[in-house]
Amino acid sequence: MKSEVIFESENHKWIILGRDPEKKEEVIDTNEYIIISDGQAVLLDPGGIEIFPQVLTEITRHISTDRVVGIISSHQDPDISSSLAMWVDLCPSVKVYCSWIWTGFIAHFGMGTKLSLIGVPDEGAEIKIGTSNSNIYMVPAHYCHSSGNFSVYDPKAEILFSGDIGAALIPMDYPMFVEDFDRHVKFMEKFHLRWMPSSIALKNWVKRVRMINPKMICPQHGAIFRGSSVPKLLDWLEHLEVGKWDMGVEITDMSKTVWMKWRKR
Amino acid sequence: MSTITLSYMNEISKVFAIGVDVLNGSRSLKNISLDLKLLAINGIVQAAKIGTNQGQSLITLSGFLSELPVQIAPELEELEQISSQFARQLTICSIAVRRYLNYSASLRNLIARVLKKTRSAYIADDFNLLDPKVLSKLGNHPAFKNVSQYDKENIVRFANRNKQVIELINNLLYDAHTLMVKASKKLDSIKRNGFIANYMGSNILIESSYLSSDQKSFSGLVENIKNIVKVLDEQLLSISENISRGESIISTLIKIKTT
Repeated sequence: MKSEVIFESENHKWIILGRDPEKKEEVIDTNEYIIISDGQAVLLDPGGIEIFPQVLTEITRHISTDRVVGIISSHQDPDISSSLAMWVDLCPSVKVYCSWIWTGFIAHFGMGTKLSLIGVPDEGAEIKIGTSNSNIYMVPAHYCHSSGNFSVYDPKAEILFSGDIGAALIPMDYPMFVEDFDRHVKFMEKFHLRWMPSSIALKNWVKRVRMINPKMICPQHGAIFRGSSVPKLLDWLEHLEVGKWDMGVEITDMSKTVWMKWRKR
Repeated sequence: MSTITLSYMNEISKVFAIGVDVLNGSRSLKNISLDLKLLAINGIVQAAKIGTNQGQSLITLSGFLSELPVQIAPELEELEQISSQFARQLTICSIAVRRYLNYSASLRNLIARVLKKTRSAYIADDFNLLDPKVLSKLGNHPAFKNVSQYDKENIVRFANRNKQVIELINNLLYDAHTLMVKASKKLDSIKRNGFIANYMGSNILIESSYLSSDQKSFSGLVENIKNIVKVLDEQLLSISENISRGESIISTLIKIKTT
C-alpha cells in the first residue's frame, strides 16, 4: 500500500493511503486518510477488513497506533466500516463517529468486540483533534450516496474529505491527483449515476461546499481534486442528473419476466 | 501470510466444519429415533393382528424396541445441546482466528519492513507468531536491537495484541476440546442403545421368519426396522469419527501454540 503526505504545516498533516498492490483483485480500491495534529491522529474511512493489515502497517510509518484518538466513518459501507472492530480492539480508547442512523447497523461488524459508536446528528458535529485549535467538522452529505452520510472538513488544511462524492473507479497506476479533469470524468460518471440517488441532495451538498471553499477535495475512491479541478468538480456535480434510473425500467421489466418464469416452475 | 499461519487457519476451518457436521448429525439422530419408534409401534399393531403365540412374542419384542427411543431421548437431547455449544464455541473461535490472522499479518508486515530498514540478517519468517512465548519476548529479540524506539513500541504493541488473541483462541480451543470429550462420552452411551436396537431388530427378524406365508406382510416392516437401525448405526459411527477427528485436530492446534 502506498502512502503520501498531501498537506503538511507545523504540527498538522494529512496523509492518503491507497493504490494497494497487495489488495485482492475482487476488492475495490479505497483511499484511507489520516489527519495528524499535535501528535494525535484521526482516521477517515479506515477501510474494510480485507485491507486492514496493509492499512495498519502503513499507518505505523507515520504514527504510533496508540496515538489514534478518533475514527470517522462517512457512511456504513463495508469497504469503510468492516475493519472497525479490529481498530477498536487495538486502540480501546478510540472514539468512532458515524451517522446516528447507522450505529446499530455498523455494530454488526463487531465480531465479538463491543462497538460503541458515537452517532452524529443529521446537522453534523465538531470533532476535537490535537491540543491546539485544530478541530474538524462533519459536514452533512446525506443521500450522497448513503441516507446517513457525512463529509469531513478541516479548516486548518482547507481540505474536504468527500467520501463517495467525486469517487472514481480508476486503474491502479493512476496518479494520486486529478491532472486532467475532463479526462477524469469518464472514471466518475457511471459511478455517480448509479450510486447517487438524489440530484437535490447533490446540489445542496455542492452549495454547502462552495460556502466552505476547500482547496482540496479528497474522495474515498479515485484521485484527489485540487486547484482548478475543485470548482470543475463542483460544477460537474451541480449539473449531473442522478437518481433517474432510466435504464432501470427496462431492466426491471426483464426481471419481472424472470420472476414470472420462476413462479411457473 | 506465513505457511504455518496458513496451515493453522486451514486446520481451524476444518474443525469448524466438523463442529457443524457433529451438530447436524446429532440433530438427525432425533429424527431417526422417531422413525424407529413409529416403525416399532407399527410392529406392535401388525403383530397384534397375527393373534398367535408368535404374534405375542413379536408384540413383546416390538414393545421393547418402541421403548428404546423414549429411553435415549434425554441423551439425544443432551448430545444435541453439547454439540450446539461446541459448534458455537468453534464459531467464536473461528472469528477470533480471523481477527488473529489480520493482526498477525500486520505484525509480520511491520517486522519485515523494520528488518529491511535495518538491513538485518533476520527475516519475518524467523519468528513463530503463533507462539505466545515468542510474542511476549519479541521486543527484546536481538533482531530489533537497532530499530528505532518508535518502531520497537509498535512491534511490542502489535505482539501484545497478537498474544492476547492467541491466548483467547487457546482458551476457546480448550473449552471446545472439553465439550468434544463430553459429546464423545454421551455418544458411547447412545451407541449402547444402538446395539440393543440392532439386537432387537435381529430378534424380530428371526421371530418373523417363522410366520406362515399369509402373515408374511410383517416381513416388509421388519426390513424397514432393520434399515432404520442400520442408518442409526451409520450415523452414530459418522458422528463418532467426526468427534475423533475434531479432537485430534484441536489437540494438534493447542500443541502448535504451546510449543
